[in-house]
Amino acid sequence: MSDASSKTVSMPDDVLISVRGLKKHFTVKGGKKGRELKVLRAVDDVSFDIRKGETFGLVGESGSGKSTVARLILRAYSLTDGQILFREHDGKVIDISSMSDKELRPVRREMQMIFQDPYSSLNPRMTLLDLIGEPMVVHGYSKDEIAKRVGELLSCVGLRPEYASRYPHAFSGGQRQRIGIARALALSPAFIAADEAVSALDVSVAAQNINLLQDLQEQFNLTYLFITHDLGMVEHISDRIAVMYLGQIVELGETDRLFSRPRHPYTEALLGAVPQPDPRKRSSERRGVLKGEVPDASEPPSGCAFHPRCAYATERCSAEKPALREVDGRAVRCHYAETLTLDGVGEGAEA
Amino acid sequence: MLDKTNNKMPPERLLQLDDVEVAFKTRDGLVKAVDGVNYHVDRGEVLGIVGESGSGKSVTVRAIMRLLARNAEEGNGEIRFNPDGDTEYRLDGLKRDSRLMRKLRGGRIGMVFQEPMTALSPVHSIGTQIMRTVMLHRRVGKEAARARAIDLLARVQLPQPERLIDSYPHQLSGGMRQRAMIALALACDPALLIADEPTTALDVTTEAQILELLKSLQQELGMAIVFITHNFGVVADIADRVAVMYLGRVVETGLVDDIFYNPQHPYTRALLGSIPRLGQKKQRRLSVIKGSVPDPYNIPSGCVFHTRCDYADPSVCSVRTPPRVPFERGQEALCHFAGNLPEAGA
Repeated sequence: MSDASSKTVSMPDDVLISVRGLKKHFTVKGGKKGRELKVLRAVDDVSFDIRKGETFGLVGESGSGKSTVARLILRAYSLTDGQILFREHDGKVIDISSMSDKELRPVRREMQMIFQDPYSSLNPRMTLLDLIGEPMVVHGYSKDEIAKRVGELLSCVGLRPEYASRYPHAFSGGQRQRIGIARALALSPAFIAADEAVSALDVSVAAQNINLLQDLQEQFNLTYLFITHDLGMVEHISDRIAVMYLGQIVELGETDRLFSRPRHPYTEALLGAVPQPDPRKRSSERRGVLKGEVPDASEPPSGCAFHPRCAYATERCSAEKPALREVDGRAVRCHYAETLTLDGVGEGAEA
Repeated sequence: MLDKTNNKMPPERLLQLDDVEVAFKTRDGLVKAVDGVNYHVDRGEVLGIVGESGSGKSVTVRAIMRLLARNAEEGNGEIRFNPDGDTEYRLDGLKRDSRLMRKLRGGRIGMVFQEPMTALSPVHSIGTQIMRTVMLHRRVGKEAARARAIDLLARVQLPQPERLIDSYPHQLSGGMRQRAMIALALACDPALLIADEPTTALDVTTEAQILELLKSLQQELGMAIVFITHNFGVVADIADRVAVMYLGRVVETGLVDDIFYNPQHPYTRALLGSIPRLGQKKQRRLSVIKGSVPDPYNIPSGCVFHTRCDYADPSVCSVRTPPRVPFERGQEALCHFAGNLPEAGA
């Protein structure tokens, strides 16, 4: 249910997707006998812009709502509230948040997704030709066109065109992920959401696929939404990053700034938790480990959702909800963003 | 190969593997999953085992625990275990349900697996599972076992252990389940804890908590840990020594600092180069290891890594099995050119 004013929508020229006030609430059973209904705010008022040609990273622990955001943008879920603006290839800005499936169809070819599990996301009974060609069948291409294009796509992702007649079981995890990438590229999209796209792969293979994604981005001028819990990976690939906690963005900014000098205690805690491949930086020298666990999203803490785990929390934090505001060239949701001195990683950071 | 004289292990040695081989009979032929693995663990030390999938790291520890699948065939390798410093047991050749193994497994060797949801019984409470282990190995009554279980749950820093003891695995979060699993593994004060990817399924923050917990328990109880992971960050955090595995072999082993700052095997170097490090100046591309891990039916001849190695000399590496080249402080690399490679850039 978007605003009535959504007829006249606009966004800055360099923006491809603009998400405004995005909300997704699920109704879940709760209480002693599971009879009470509770509202789980999986995504609660999330707004951000993804610029053309950039890689926008989304990080957070499980349950933070990062995958739900991607699914909402692709309209795999219907949204509870909010706007999703998308710039079509002709430059026209449309609001896809309230479109019907039929209206969405032409937009869908411009937005694609790469999934985490290369084993369950490919139908084992379809050949690569069928798998990669399926989106083109849906969009009415001829058989010859499809066969030719599938061959091209396979070589794009570093697989041999002759493989088109094979089935997924003949390929390794990394190769299957490439098949998924080829399928996502089939309709020449402008935007690809990659949800934990390399998390299931071995280190050396993940690196190959990350390099491939970056090459493809350059070649086809793609825009990525890159979702992962791997902070090293997200730092490597992203231009800008949003950190999510319990369905909300707690910090959003340029990668280097965010990681070298975080302004939100949760960003600091996440960075501090990553085990470094460097035995001289063992956690004894690391800052305190974040205590506790992500709270139940259907019963979020009062005030700042992060306050029960925050090392810097005061009384104000448990009473008053902080707003997302502009501090030091990024958006932060913390009452004390200006005054806290937090530790980051890398060059600009204090040791 | 190795001298298989029956000389005793040095007193500080807890576990020693010599030339362990495990193959699986399948419809498509024999798969050599572990092909001559050598490593050892001293009392109270943490050995990290890293490797990509298919490197045989889990199969090797299953051979130690005698929990190999029924189609497994073992070679002549030796697995020796001396839990208390006075008796040296030969584990190789023991049946999974032999009297001795049932005494040692759970009694002197504890285990923690990757996915606590599948490793714990869903139909028994946490307390029941711990109590049964304690009662089996310690011959104590229910009351004493329950007290021990509560004490263990408190040790792994679970809140309200008196209440949690009666809850079931599905009622706990992933991190709490992993703590319960650790409590179960510690039930009988093992001399050796085998942890197979215990933090892989967890969020970074929970992972950090579990690593801290394991480290403090290790110091407190003095047990040795074999820690299996594919994550170099985790190894750097917890291990004293490291064994790097590739295609069923230990290709390099050494002290954690030597492995990270002075790796001698091309595979170790390449792996270290392919992880994006937090806070590192952005380089445009990650360095990669070319190709992918060969499938176990077609293991390359000579050095198993030569098909992916940047330094391989086909006239040598594809023909001859590489020697174990020793370096200082017990570091060893399985490579024809170890010590003569160009300086590591890492």
